[in-house]
Amino acid sequence: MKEKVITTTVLTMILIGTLLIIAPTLGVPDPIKIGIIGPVGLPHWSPCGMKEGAEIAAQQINDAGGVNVGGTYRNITLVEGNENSYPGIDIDEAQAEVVRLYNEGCRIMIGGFRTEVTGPMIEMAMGQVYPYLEDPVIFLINGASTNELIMDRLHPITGDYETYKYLFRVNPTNSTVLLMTVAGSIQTLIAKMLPIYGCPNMGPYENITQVKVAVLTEALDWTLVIHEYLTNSSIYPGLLGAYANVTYADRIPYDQVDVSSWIGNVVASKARILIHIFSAPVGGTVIGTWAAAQVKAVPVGINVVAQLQTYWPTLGGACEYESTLNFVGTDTPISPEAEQFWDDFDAHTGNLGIWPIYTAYGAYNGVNVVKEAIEAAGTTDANAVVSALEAIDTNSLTGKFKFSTSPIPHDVFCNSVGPFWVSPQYTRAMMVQWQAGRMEVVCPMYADYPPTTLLSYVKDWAFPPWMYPNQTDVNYDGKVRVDDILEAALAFGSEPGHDRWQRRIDVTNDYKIRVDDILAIALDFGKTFDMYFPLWCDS
Amino acid sequence: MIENILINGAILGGLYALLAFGFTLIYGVSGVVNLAHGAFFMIGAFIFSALGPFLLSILGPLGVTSTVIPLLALILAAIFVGIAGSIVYRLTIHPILGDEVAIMVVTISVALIIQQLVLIGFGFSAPVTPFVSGSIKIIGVSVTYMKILAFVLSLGLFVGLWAFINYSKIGAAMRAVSQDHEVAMLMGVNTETLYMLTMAISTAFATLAGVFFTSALLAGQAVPHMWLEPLWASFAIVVLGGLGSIKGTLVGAFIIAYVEHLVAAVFVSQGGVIVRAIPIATMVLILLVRPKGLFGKRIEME
Amino acid sequence: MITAYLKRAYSSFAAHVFDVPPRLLAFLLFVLHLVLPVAKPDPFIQLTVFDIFFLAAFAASWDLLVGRSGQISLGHALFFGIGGYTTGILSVNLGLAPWITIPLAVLVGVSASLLIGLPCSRVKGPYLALVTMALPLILVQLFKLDLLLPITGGEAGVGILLPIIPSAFFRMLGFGSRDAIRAVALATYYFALFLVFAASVILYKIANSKTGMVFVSILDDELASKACGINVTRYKLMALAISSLFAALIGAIRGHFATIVSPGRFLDLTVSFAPVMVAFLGGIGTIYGPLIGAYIYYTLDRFVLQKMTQIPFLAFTDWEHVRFLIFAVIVIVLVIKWPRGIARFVTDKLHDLEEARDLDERGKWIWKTYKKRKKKE
Repeated sequence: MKEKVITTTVLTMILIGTLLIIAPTLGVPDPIKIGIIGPVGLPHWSPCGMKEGAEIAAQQINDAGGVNVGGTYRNITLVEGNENSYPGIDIDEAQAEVVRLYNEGCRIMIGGFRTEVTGPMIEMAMGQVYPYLEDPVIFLINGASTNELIMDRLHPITGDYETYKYLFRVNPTNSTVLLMTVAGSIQTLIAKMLPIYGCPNMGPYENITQVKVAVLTEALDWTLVIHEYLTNSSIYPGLLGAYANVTYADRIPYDQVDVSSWIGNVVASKARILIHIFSAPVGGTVIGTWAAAQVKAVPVGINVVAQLQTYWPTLGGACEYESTLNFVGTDTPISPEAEQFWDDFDAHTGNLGIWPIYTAYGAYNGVNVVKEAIEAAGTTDANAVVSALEAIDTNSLTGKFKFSTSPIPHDVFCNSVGPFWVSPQYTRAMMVQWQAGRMEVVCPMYADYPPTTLLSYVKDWAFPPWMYPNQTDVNYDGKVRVDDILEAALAFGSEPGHDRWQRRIDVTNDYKIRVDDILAIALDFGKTFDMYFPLWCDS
Repeated sequence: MIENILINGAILGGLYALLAFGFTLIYGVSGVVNLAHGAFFMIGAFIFSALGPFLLSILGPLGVTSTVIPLLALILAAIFVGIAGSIVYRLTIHPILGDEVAIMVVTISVALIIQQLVLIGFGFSAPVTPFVSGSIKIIGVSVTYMKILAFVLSLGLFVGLWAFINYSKIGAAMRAVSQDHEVAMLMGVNTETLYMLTMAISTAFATLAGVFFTSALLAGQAVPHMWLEPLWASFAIVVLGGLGSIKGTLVGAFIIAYVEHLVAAVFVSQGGVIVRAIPIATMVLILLVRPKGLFGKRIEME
Repeated sequence: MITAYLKRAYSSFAAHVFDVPPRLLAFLLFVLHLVLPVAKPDPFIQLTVFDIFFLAAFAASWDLLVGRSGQISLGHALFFGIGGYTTGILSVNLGLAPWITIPLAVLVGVSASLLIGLPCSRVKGPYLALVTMALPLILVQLFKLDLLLPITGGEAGVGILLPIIPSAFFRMLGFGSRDAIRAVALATYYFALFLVFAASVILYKIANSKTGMVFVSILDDELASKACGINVTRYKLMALAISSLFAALIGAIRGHFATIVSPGRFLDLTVSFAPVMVAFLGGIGTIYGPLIGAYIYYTLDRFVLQKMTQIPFLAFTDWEHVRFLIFAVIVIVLVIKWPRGIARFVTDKLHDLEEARDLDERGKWIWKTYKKRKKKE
């Protein structure tokens, strides 16, 4: 009797459960399944937001009625995949995930963060590796910037268009464009640094023969082009401007733990600018070591972990003065949509103070671009959607959006590098700098060239105080006076994150402004200094 | 250049000695090749980073100064990991004691479990801020106070543990067990408890080394995959110095540290990559050429 | 009448099921795999089976070395990687055909094993395990040097290798473009199946030959083997060479099918530990055990645990890491509680069953005779 009751209850529950699952799907047209494949699952890394960005986009589209495929409205369903690229790079598992997503009905995939797994995933999606997926799969790269991912496959002469035409990149701009953006920003940076650090005997601008630059890149595929261009000046003369001279360059393994020997070499090379190109957590270690050793070099470059808002507390504020490429700074109002997305993302992740980085913007843009292409094509047939994608020219979070046609087709189009944002403003990265717990945009500075108008949200570069000749001269006017002590007193008791916090007043470099800082300033009272310290004039 | 190598090499050597001591201790006493040693090193740093703010929130209102809290957190982390280490020993290593290969497979699985647990619990990095700030110039080389503190504490702990083993009753029991555990058992030594205690000391020292390493040398960044390199380093040191030899551990630690710094200075480009292979290569070479190491008296290879 | 018939049918069935000769089982498995792509043309299952093949054969080669000759190697990825990288570098840089590069890769793998084996024969037990574990990691560091970057490709590896079975071949035979792809898929599958089956059978034969017996004697007691006049070093080297031959061959072919040879796939610590785990799952020293182990591993990994993410109350975000963790826990439990593996467990159980039945029958016989005697009395 008892068994009977239990059996009946279980069966009823199963029946109800099945009905509950099936009922909502009855009568609704098949959803369009999009696979999101990235380094998901890592709790503090998943805020890179590939999944969340796509979810926000899909939710907005579904709330608006879905995708209009030739008259019928179909919803978007996302299927999550893991590319298995952290802590180890597992290509077999990444490829298996592509097949799994295919099996679950995804014929459109967005993702691919690490080039080392994205290449094999593309090969699998394009049916080039066993077990040969029969239907064509549209693969939108979101995360990996390596040129070769697209160039090798879609080159007009050496590529194979018929096989690989389903391959696009929505984000980020390719490595060459990233390099040019960094290089343009560095030219701007040098122009800003020269009046401060000009040589005393020779005058600030003239006769400066070289600004020494050190280059540290991650030993992964996507930085190869960047490293080569930066270290071999014959490839692109004048890339970093007339003054820059690369004196030290090396690559760091992505899973390196101790980077002190590299930082020691940077110190020994007497470089004043440190170009660092990283995507793995080792980038944070490099900056932490840089700050701890107080290297007299301004760190500029690409550091993906530095784009995360959690980066500041993780490093305990040591990343102040670090500049990295990013799509926007902390809540930067580049457009109303981007501001809205910033808030939506926070709400979507449960108001935990987690903010989007470029992969989130890319996933959002990717889903929207796919939607527009399907609507333009009027069908989900892959070949028609590819043609629609090739013709697309739309608005996105990061400016206008279209795919390039030459020299590399199917790559995200970018029309401006350097300090200017050229109209019409297509997707480009910005240089942001960590200042007092916020990422502030420092480059590009101008929009619409010509005429040049200064962008409202752009801040000035700030330089590490230990790069000044004397830290106790906190306002850098050449003499320690009572106004220096006054400034210190006004910031007394503050820590990073406070309103009154000023990094340059922290003379003792302990990230707290206490009486010992004021004492150090008071002890130097009346001293005069050369305003210009010959930082890069010393041999 | 030379003074740089001299000073930084010495600091690294001191920390290496602390790291390898625990490793050689558990090997010497119970014959366990503990491949999870590096994992305890890593989780120690993470637990320390979590304990700091936790203690501050509890003890801060009670008026405990912020200089005491890191030390308190350090001690608590060491105790915590020590207890965890002995539990891990009891659960996983004890049932297969004597089967060296099974122990290696099990301990490396333990290391992987710890790595995954840390990834789940803490994420890909955690800040381990130095206890003291500021720096001083020694013969023209800028050395942070934290490095000096870590160096002094490491050597102090090393000497302390050495004295403990040589002059205490438990130390005598440890030495007895390492020489012949059956005879020691006959003499009334409770080997099971002793092994657990040794494991606790070993992992606690790994924790201390982990905290010192991350706060003094690794820019205060603890990452979950930082267990393999310390493991190889301690292997290289122990094999170089002679398995189970405390004097050998100290000498081996300084040799490896200086070699690493020398190589980094000689090969400016690619130096870091070569440095990474040094401990592994040293270990392989020593095992193949002179398996008993520098100070090993006898080799126990069957 | 009917009950007697049923009894007889049952006893004959039991005799056939519980006394299955290993050969029949292997043959059944082979046939099952032969019909699989026709019966279930699901790409995900095909891929999984494909991965199982390679891991099983690789682990079988490890098992011959460790389970049979007792030389503990925790770095078998070295030979796998050497095989993959040799064929990859030759294929990509020189454009040589796979039929030339794969034998060359095997040759390089075997010579490397002899080169390493001579000094390594001095060390034993955990020390040998350590040395072997370190070697692939040193090789990885070498491959990542700038000097070798143009050849080895660093982290990204060498690619794209030429296919072993080019689709052009099928196009030449008059297949259409899509049909050619399908034909290549089938051909790839059967090629891998036959290769792995052949490799496993050869390894099994070697393990149970006279030479294999010598390996086992060295495993059991090296000193006694020496006393019996066995050249221990020679046989140890032989075991290493045979094992590395298969590892390099499987690595090379894996490289061609995967099209990209990279450190994470061919030389990583996880690659070294995969055969260990699979062999522990299946049963060390059985050669066929790893196949069962690989099946369990991949089924758990790709079907059971993957599906668990879709169960609402289990769908926490860091599932990928929990998955990793579960495998590590399984290995520990297996090593401690069940060191003989599943294949051994099953054979033991069958053996016990047989013995029990024998005993039972004997008991019945005794009982019958006892009764008969009583009757007589």
